[in-house]
Amino acid sequence: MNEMMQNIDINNAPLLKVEKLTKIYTHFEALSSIDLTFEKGKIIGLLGPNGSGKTTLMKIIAGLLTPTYGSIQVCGMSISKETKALVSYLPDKSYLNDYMKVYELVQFFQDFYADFDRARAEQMLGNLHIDQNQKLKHLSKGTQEKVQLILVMSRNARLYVLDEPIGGVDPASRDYILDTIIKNYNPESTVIISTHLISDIEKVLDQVVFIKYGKIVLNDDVDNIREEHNQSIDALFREVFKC
Amino acid sequence: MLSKLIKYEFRSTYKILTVLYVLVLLIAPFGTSGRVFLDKLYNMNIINSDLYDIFVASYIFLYVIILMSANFITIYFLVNRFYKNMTSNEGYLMHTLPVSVHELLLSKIIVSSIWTLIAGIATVSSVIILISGFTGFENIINVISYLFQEIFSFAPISNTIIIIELIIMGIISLPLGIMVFYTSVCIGHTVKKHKLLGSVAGYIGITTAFNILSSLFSPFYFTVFSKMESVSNIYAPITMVFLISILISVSMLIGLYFIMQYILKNHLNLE
Repeated sequence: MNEMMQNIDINNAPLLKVEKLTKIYTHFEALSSIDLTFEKGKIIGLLGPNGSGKTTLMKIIAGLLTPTYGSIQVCGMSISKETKALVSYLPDKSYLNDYMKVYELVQFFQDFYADFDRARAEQMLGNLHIDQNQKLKHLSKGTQEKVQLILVMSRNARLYVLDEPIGGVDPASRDYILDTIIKNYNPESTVIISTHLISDIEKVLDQVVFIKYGKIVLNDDVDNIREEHNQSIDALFREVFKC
Repeated sequence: MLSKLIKYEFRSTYKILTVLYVLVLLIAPFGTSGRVFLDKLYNMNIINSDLYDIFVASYIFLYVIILMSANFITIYFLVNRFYKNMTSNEGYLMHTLPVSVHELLLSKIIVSSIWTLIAGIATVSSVIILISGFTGFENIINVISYLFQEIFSFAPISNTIIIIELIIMGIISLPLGIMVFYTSVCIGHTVKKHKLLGSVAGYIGITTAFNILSSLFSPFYFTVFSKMESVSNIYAPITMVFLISILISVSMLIGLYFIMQYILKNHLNLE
């Protein structure tokens, strides 16, 4: 009975609902009473300068931080191991066990994530000529980041949370990665991407959220923004976050 | 999910630890055959009795150091793995898996307890192998059964209870030992800078709490032993003391687990 009710929640509830979310570290308010609702089928850019709260928000969604005040729900459920099964999170750093070989990491993801598509992962690894028999620590930093991204995007998750997915890679790989993100688009999922490279990513975004000092300063569809402000997102960003 | 976590935990730990325990077992026959060789040298007057004694003493000294190091390395390795896997970069992977904190903790505690047990068995086996090399295996069995017979030559019922208590205490000590360190690591994690100092402070705090808790019962122990009518009635007080020791250990186990779970669930802050 409980499971049935949860299923109903998953299909009708917004993918992410955040209400008055606040995160305070000892002397520092990283997020100040944030309200957000994300529906499914969108690619959303979470844009803001360093220290604006993007990573904090993403970590809370992924279940790595607990809010100080406020609430957060993924598919109608509070953060738990059930939401972790629905959220695919890519942190902004090397986080995989680097003593493991690539194929062992693929196996690891398959073991723990029911929604992991092994064939897709192996195809992408092949496309990028990544040797699966290598230990992760023997690969270059850029290649390690690609492996991390491939594993995260090979899951059929409801919510993808990508923290700076294209930061450390060359422009050609950047295009490949963005293509992958678009190809994996499905109307039941939503992708949240945080990045500094706005001009690169602008073309794939449906919705944009500007975050500054832990507060949302803009949350709108990309088309609306372009119409209203008559400039690219990149230009608007520079204007809003002028130093 | 718990079984999968346990599987990966074993996979990440078995290589180094297996090599370690094989070494511990191998140095015993090395000592036995070495001694045979030394005897030959002595009989051929190549070395005198002083030199002989020096070699034997050095070997015993090194042997003890190696055995102690093996146990120390085991603990250091397992605690370091917990630190890296749960509170450092790998924590980003572990804490976003669709598993509960309970499952993460239990997988680590179970696997570490098993390794601690294996380390103990390897150490004891190594000593038995070494001693059998000198006095013969049958002699050791005889000595141990004689000891047991003398100690437990009193009422059989009391024997069983005490033996059961000792077994329980032994089993509890496996997770308890490692959980003291794990909890210290978790406490250190909550300190923003100086995480190592935080862990050390946590360790001192935990062991102090344990000592205070144990010493609370000393007046009781004193009363219980002084009420003994004769030495043959020593079983009742000993049973009581062991029982209290078990209760204290179980309370520590529960308390430490609760602290770890609370910190990792509510105060996780990976850098």
